[in-house]
Amino acid sequence: MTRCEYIQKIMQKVMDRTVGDAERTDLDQHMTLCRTCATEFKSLQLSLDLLISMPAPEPCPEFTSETVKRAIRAKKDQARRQKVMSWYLSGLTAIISALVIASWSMIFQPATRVVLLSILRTLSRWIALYNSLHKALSVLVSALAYLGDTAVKVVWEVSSPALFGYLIALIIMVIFITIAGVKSSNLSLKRR
Amino acid sequence: MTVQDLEPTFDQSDLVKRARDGDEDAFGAIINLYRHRVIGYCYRMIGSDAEDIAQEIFVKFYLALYRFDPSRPIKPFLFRIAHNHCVDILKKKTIRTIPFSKDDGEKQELRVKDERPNPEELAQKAELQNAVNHALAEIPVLYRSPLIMWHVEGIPYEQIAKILELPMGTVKARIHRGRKILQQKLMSFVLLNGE
Repeated sequence: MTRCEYIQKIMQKVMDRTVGDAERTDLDQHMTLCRTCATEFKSLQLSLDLLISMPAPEPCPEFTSETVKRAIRAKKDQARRQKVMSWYLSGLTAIISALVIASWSMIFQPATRVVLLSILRTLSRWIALYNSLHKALSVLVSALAYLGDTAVKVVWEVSSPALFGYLIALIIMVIFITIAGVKSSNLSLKRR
Repeated sequence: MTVQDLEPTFDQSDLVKRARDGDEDAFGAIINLYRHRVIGYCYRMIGSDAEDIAQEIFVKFYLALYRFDPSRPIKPFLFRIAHNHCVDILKKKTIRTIPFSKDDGEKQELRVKDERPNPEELAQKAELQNAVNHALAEIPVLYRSPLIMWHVEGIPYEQIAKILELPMGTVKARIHRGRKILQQKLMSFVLLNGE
């Protein structure tokens, strides 16, 4: 650390108000020899002096009384706002409570109970009707399927060999007819 | 006499208790004790409307009294409110550095004129005032606030750290940085007038 760096540290301590007597002496001695450090310290001190001595506006004579009035008004406003808010909250709580109680008691009213039970009964009837319809349709579908299956099986088991024979005979007949037709057309061409 | 000399030395807990209970005189006494400091701080922080801003700060202080422990000193609590309020205003203005209005300079000049009739001295003082105003406005708020608190208001590092909710090392570093910026901004002026 150079001497000037050491002096810079002391300047910092002066600004922090933690400088010791020996350090202050070092600073003063150094500044008589080093013009750069002296200028640095002087400019720093003058800048701070300017900042500290900067005159702020003087408060007007009514500043205190006006501020007190303003503060009291603000406190009243705050209290009023809090009161209004508490009223709102109380009202909201009351409405919600009333709604909860009303709906709860409605459920346990005899008339409401009758209505609810009739709705439930109707629903159960509809469900029962739907179930019975569904069952009937299922039976019908399965019956038709069974019948269809049986019919196909019966036809196939009973008549399939005969049908197969008929089919082969038909194919042979078509072949013979075709050959005969082709031969007769050839003969007629030769005669011409 | 600097503002630091106006530091009240008596026990203020009674004043706080009375003000909290709605005693207007007690609250008025607290305002009288701190109004110069608060206006000065606002003027250095914001530059204009310092008196109005100081009023708003005292109103906030009054509304917050119910959560203030009377056995504790008023100044850190009041300056915490003042700092937060000034920072809020600066944020609303959405500019990092606040140009000091010409009107204020003129008002200040007029005020000085009334006090000191010498025109040359007046002109020099106004120029000086203007230079400091502009230098301050160019220091970022995060350095400006602790710099004013330490050098102008004489608030100890520990209290500044509490007010700004920062570690003490950070506070010291910010004050040092703010000082350097101020020095740089005023260097030419200081050298010119200091020789």
